[in-house]
Amino acid sequence: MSDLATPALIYFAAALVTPFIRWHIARAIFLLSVPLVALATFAFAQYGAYSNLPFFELHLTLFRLDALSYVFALVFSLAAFLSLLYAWHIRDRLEQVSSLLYAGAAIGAVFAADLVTLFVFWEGTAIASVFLIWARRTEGAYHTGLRYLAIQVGSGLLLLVGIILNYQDTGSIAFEHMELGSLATWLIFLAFGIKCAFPLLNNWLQDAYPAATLTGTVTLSAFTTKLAVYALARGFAGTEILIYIGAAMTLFPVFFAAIENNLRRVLAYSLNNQLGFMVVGIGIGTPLALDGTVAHAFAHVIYKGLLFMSVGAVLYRTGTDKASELGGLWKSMPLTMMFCIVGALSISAFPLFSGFIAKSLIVSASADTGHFIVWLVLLAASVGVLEHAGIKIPYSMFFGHDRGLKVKEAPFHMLLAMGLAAALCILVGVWPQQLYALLPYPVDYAPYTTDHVLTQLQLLFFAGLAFAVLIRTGRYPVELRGVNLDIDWLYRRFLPNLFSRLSSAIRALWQAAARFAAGRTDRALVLLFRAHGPHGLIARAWPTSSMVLWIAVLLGITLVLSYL
Amino acid sequence: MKTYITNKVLIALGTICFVLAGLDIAIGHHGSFGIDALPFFYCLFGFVIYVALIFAAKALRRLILRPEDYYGRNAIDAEPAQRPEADNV
Repeated sequence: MSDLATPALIYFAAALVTPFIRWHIARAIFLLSVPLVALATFAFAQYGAYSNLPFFELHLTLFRLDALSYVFALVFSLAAFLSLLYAWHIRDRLEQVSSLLYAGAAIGAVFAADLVTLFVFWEGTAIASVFLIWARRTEGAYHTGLRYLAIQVGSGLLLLVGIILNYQDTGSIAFEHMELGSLATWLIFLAFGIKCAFPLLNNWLQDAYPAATLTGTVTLSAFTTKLAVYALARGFAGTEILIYIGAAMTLFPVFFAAIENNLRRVLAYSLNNQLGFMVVGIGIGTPLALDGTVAHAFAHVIYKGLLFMSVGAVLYRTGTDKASELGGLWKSMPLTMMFCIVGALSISAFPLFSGFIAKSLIVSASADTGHFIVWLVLLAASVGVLEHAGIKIPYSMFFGHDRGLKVKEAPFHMLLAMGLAAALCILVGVWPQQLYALLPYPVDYAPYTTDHVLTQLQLLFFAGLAFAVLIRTGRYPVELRGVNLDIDWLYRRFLPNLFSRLSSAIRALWQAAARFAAGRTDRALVLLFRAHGPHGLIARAWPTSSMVLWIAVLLGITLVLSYL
Repeated sequence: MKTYITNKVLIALGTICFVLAGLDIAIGHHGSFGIDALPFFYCLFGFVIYVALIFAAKALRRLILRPEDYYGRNAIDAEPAQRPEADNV
């Protein structure tokens, strides 16, 4: 294989060609073929490191194929295919080209075996993906895109500094397991953490994803965050702090998701919560936990994409994704509802759906390693997932309050994309061995034990019963229009206000100082004028005799002093 | 207001829960930490956590809910609804 070959290049080459295909159906068919061709280049290749490239004194490896990179690249290819199919109706070449570049950069990053290549593709995902937000072409989307870009590029800069310092420390740029300790590794860890939406670093996700075009959000949901999960799994598996970071990530978004009105933002909070499960798995770091993380990432990309697609289909037909404006659509969009419910059951980890066979590996690993509190948090967070993604999403769109919306069912290509994703969710759930066979470590785990199925059903159905009781007693929160403050308040409201107050304070201070100085200067000028002006003391005409007298006095004093 | 959670739905859910709880007595389940091996642990945990979560979220909303135009024109929240099929450029 030649030196520069990586499957990402197929996406980049296609992105160059795409704008020049004039007939939009030909363009859509061409786009759909890209992920399949790229998949064919690595799906049957032997594991190993290809495309070695000397670069100054560094040794770059663009294409490392092993079990970990294989699973992520595979699911990224599936996600690219499904989201391009879902976006069949799109004619906007900007969005199509950036989708290709984005998917290509994400796959390139997954195959990177050195940190420099990783950095290039890492920044590539940031720059390509922002156009999916800007493609909405509204003032709000433009500003949201700028905020998103600043944070994403910031993550890349931290990564770059980390890589340089790490090279100075170790003399290597290989992307292998790292131990947290030096400034370099902490910077790299932080760069990964920003893209992985760690607590307090998370808000770009909830800010940006609802702002993209409805097809753009589906694409966005697949790559950036799972790339960060991959990078953490590759670089920091078994790092204990990740267990607690992940546990916090599973819990906090749950409360925000429960009261959020924008359904795509609900899903963004939900995505954050799901990432938490994966991060816990990376932190535990046992083979079972890491397998769980990889399996969960795989299942998650598909069902989360499916949920975003179903909300997108409703947005496409009704023009809104706000829960307060939606409801009662089951009659007009029955197929979309069905696919949405498959996604909801998958994310809630119902037996026979993909979430069940993936998440349970992580939860079991937390129990096996004796992390009682973390295990409890994960269990509570699972109830939270059921609440906002399992119940709220389908309920508020298709049932809830009937708003009398008369719309058509989603277009065929959207239904096809959702149907394929739903089929994958069920296939993986029913035949988990197919997915388990792809995982990095041999899986010795049986998800379908009586114990496990029974306890999971008890957890979910009793939570469902609680929902029904709350609805009937009128205690379930009504959907209210509005925005909920989150950490982005700091940089969207607090800091700008602080700066504007600081700047007006500084301006006032400056003006006061200038006034004071001007007053003093005026007074000094007046005094000078009094002394030196035409009528001043100094300017008066003195008689020569008085001058002679004063000189005599001065000489006299000098004489006295010299004798002292 | 018409609700989709009719008495029938409630009774069906209640019956399923009753059966699941009964199965806990009939075949039981194991646990990893002791407390989770107690009968009905998962039943109670699911119900209680769900209710607690909803009440906590409602309390949180009192603190953090702001009008849609809170962030002004730099946000998508106050923008008018997208024309249906608006992305069909």
